Amino acid sequence: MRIGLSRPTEGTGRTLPSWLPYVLISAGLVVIWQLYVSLSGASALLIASPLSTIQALVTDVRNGQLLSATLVSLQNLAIGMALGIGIGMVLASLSTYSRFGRYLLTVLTAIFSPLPGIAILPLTMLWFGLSPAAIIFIVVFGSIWPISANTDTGFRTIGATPRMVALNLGLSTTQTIRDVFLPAALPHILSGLRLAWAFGWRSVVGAEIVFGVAGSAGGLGWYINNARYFLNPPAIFAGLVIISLLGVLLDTLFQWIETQTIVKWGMKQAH
Amino acid sequence: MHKRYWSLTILLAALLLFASACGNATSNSSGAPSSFTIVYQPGLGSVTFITLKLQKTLNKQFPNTNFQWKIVNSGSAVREAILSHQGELGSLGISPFLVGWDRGMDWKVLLATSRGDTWLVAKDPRIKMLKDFGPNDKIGVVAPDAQQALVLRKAAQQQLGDAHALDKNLVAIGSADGEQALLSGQLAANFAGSPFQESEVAAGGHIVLHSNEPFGPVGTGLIVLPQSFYNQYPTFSKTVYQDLLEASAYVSSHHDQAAQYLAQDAGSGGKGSAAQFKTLLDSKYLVFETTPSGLMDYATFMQSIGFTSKVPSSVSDLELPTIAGTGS
Repeated sequence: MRIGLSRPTEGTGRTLPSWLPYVLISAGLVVIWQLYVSLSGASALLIASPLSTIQALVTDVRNGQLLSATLVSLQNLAIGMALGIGIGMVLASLSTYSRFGRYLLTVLTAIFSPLPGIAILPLTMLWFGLSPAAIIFIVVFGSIWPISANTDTGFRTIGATPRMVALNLGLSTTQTIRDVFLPAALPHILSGLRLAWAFGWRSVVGAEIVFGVAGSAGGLGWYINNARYFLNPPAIFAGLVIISLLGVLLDTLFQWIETQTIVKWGMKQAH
Repeated sequence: MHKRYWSLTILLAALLLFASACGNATSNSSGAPSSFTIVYQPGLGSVTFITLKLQKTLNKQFPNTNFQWKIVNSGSAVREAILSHQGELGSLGISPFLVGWDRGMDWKVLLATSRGDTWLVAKDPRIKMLKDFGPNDKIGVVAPDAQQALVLRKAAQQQLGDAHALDKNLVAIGSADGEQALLSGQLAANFAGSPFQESEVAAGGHIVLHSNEPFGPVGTGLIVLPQSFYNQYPTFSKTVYQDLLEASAYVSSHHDQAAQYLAQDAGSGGKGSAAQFKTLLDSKYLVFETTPSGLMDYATFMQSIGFTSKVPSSVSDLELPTIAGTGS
């Protein structure tokens, strides 16, 4: 008896595209959603149908409301993440190079990491007033800890050989961190970034809803809340769809970065 | 496998049963519902409700009905409570009522409560008129669709030439929190009503706009009820209407006792003494009017600035039989 060496899903040349199951499941969920709205008799003021959601999406993309809200949220996230990455990296580097830095990072992470971003919103509103700075601070606060902890782990798990090579080459501390440690710790750093952005994204939207800042500073959270005030469930659903889609897109971006770096370099297996 | 499908089916059926059971008020033998929830907002305008509550009028008339009183922060929250069957009778401003009516909510006005002069109060002496608000000066209102927010838009249209000129300055904030935010400098101005506005002025604030100016002396607070509830319980609804009329008349002629009620109930929104509430009730700023006014003016303005899609053909379209055709 001859046993085939190829995996059951491969080798026939007629395998389904890898994205197809995801698309089919998503389409199935939309069908269930539509069926529920059509058959349950639920009030259109309580739940929007997929069709009315798409209509609201199109309307509010055309009139610019949804785009400007999305840009505001993404801007808050990007500024917060950039600052969080910077501070997180500095803390991780300090922790690698000094005993005090390690103690400091351990204590700070233990104290601040369990605090949900929304929990510190009242405090940031007192400090920064009703301005986007209060929201950005929450993102910074939330992203520092996963980034610094993961980067620190990444730095610590680098083998002795690269360290010795860096020493033998006479690299400075900055060069060692930039050219040896950062690439070697990239798998951990990327994990930290994925955790940080997920935390930051939820915090941004949550804070915007609590915050209630309108107009030019109003992001997607504000957009959803405003739709609630004007009893417009299709727009609420449209906002939720955009938040979810952006989440998927950002996660895909991180996967792409992984594929282009650590998977290509053989540091991690492809999915 | 089959067992699993059966349990899923049973679970779904149970969920459907639960969902259909929610919110259906069952009646008792006296033609009254078994439970009745009244939703109102903190502020001096709730004095009629508070009087009705503390005099236990409804409890005496309908001993088999479980009466509940809920305080929420804005007219939007009152609307949501009624929409989700968490309340039947609600007290709110004209604009959140009209937004609900425009979107197809099954509710109408049972009667009006009162008409007060609400003040837009600022603390910074730099802000004297609407044109003095800069892009970073936040203005607190309980909700973007609140009556005060509409009055502000009408004033912005009159003074600045654009009804939406200050939309970017609006911050949705509860009245009590708004007062604190104004005094701590987080808000440039707050548009909240009594007793918050008086405290703000007493703490150094000054009045930038009177709500009586843009639309004139119209714009009463409303008490609303779903039309379907009224049709199902007409006698009960008429009795509640009559009780509210009497409570309103009582408040108008008994400021001392009404002030005592306000001092006792969280619905007054302030931590004031009975004497302080009496001063507010004695002032000329609050008029107890049970006939709604301003419905058509607000409806026309809201449609003109794109907040609603239609204007009622007559005020009767918005009123229950208790007051049909009497408002404006």
